[in-house]
Amino acid sequence: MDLGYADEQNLVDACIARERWAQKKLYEDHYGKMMSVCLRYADNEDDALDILHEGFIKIFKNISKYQPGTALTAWIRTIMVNTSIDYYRKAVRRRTDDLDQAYGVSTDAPDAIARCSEKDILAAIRKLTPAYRTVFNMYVIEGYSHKEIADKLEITESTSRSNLVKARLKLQVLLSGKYAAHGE
Amino acid sequence: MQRMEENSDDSLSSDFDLFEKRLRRVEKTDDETFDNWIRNAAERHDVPQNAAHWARMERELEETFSWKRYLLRFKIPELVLSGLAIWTFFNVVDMPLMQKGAAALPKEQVMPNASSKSQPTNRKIVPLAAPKAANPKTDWNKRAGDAPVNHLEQDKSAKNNLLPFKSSEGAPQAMIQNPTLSAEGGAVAGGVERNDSKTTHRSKRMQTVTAALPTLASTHLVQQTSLEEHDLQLHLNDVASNKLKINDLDQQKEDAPSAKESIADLLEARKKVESLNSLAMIQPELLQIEKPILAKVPILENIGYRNHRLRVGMFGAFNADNANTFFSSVSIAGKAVRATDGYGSGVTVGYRRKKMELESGVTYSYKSYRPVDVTAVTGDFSGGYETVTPKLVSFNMLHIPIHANYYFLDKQKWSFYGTVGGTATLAMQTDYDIAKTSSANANQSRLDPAASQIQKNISDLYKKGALEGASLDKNYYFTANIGTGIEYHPKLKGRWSLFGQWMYQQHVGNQGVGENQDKISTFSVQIGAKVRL
Repeated sequence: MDLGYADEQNLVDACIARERWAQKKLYEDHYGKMMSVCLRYADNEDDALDILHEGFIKIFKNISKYQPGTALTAWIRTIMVNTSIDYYRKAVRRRTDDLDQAYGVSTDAPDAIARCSEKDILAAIRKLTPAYRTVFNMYVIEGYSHKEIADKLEITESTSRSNLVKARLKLQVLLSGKYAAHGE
Repeated sequence: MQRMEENSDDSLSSDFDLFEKRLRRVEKTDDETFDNWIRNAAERHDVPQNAAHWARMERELEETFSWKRYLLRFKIPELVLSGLAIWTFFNVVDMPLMQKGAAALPKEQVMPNASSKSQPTNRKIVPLAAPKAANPKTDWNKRAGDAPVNHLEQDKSAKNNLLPFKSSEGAPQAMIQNPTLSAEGGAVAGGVERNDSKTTHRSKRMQTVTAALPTLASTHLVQQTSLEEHDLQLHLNDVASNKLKINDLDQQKEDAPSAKESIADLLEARKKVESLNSLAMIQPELLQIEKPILAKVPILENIGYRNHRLRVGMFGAFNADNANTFFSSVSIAGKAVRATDGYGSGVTVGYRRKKMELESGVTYSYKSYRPVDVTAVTGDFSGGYETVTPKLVSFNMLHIPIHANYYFLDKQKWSFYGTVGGTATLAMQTDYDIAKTSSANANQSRLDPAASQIQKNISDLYKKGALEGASLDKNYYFTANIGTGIEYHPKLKGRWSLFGQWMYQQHVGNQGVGENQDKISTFSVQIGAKVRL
């Protein structure tokens, strides 16, 4: 995936020219990571694939705007995250009060969590409600501030903070439960 | 003692504050640890390839970049909607206006047909009443000096209707014009046509009217005149007794000059009738035919002062803009089409000749919308990254429209017109609101210089307005316009009029504005005033 500057430039130029082989290479090179991003925001794999493809269509349309030499992967990822946020805004805005029952985590939770695999973590994130999941992904993984999250999701900053805390608690509970299940 | 308690309370409070701060630090540290752990795990996660997914992606790409899809999804619906809007306007707005005049009349007056059930079968001959005074405000024909065929007035002046004409011998003679007995309603006296323009014009108009009411005059005469009158008709002219068809008007004109009646005979017969009936008239039916005359005579001739005029217009506009971002000859779906509101104002100059008006001018508009996110990124996931994204773009635009207006309906107070044309638009000033974001693990000191450079590059890349040093060819586009308008004339021959019009401006061509060469189509509602020079 780490292409040299010249290779990357050639690939981008070919994508601008709508060369199918170049589009396929770009797609396959970034499929794994970007699908992972989409899976974190989507409810299921089908939705994640829709987001991924919508994002790649945007990428192929906008590839001429890419500044060569910056960071192609990060650029693609940003578009993918924005597409995921759009997905949340358009289709999955739901009530967020179903996690009020989140309860405390046992003291040995961090150790338990540390034993979970990436797949388990992804599965746990996807079990969060869309509102919690989106805020959690944007804040923890993408590095958005609460103000930016509030702007993008059209919610208040306090809602963003509240959703993050609840998402974190819920995630800890889910991962602890997963570990317990594995332990059994 | 009390003081000690207070000190004790203060001390407890202070201790708890310290404890709370430490607790928060611990919680924060725990949260950050947890977040970092999740983040790292998420970044490590990778999904294995799936060949079927690329096959699906390929199909979607072919579908997205298909010109057929572009036509079906955007252009054809646009054309259909535009056609529907125009059709709706002409059928919903225009028709009621046309029907309004007819609806104002009593039902039996709208269709004055002898065969109609509303036609009285046993009419009485009533004495001649004084002619109804013309209302200068409502009777267009009278006010224009081009009075409709008014049998009352003509009958009243029957004695003066001795029109000179030359016999075959060349001696000056005269013939009584008796409009009440003429099938043409008096426009032609015994087939002798007035040799002046007004009468000629009136005669032509009556042809139009009577053609629309083919049996009114003749039936009228047969049913409602006395025997003496009928004889007089025979004596004067064979027209009425033979139930002359209206379309035989020309034949009647040819026959009339050969009449052999003397003036004395005619006058005698006339007096006879007057003594019997006081020269009766049947007013209602005669009045009935005045309304269709109004409907048939082109009203434009009465408001001819609106023709051949140079006018200046001023207006304010509310614009609903639709910004399309294209990256090639095909369209982009989804978020690349953004609707936004704008406003504007302008000055126009128009020259009207009859029903057509050519109009041009200069207008200003302001448009603002969120551009398609074109994000420049520096850094990477592990070391942190920063992004630079335009959040909002706003334009101050100058438009030069050229329109042809067609006035398809001209009323006393109102005019309705359709307009087509085009507009050349120039983006005079372009502003971008650019936002910078960074990931949580971004090392600011390391990334900021690069991000600033990117921001500068993007700013350089983004096109500026024509007044900001950018070239003109990067800041213009054309639209094709279509719309309709309504104009209100407060005074009959006043210089001022108010107007409102809606107009759809469809972007045409490949030129656009903004960093993505956005192509903007606009639905505009304009309200303003025009003054005649």
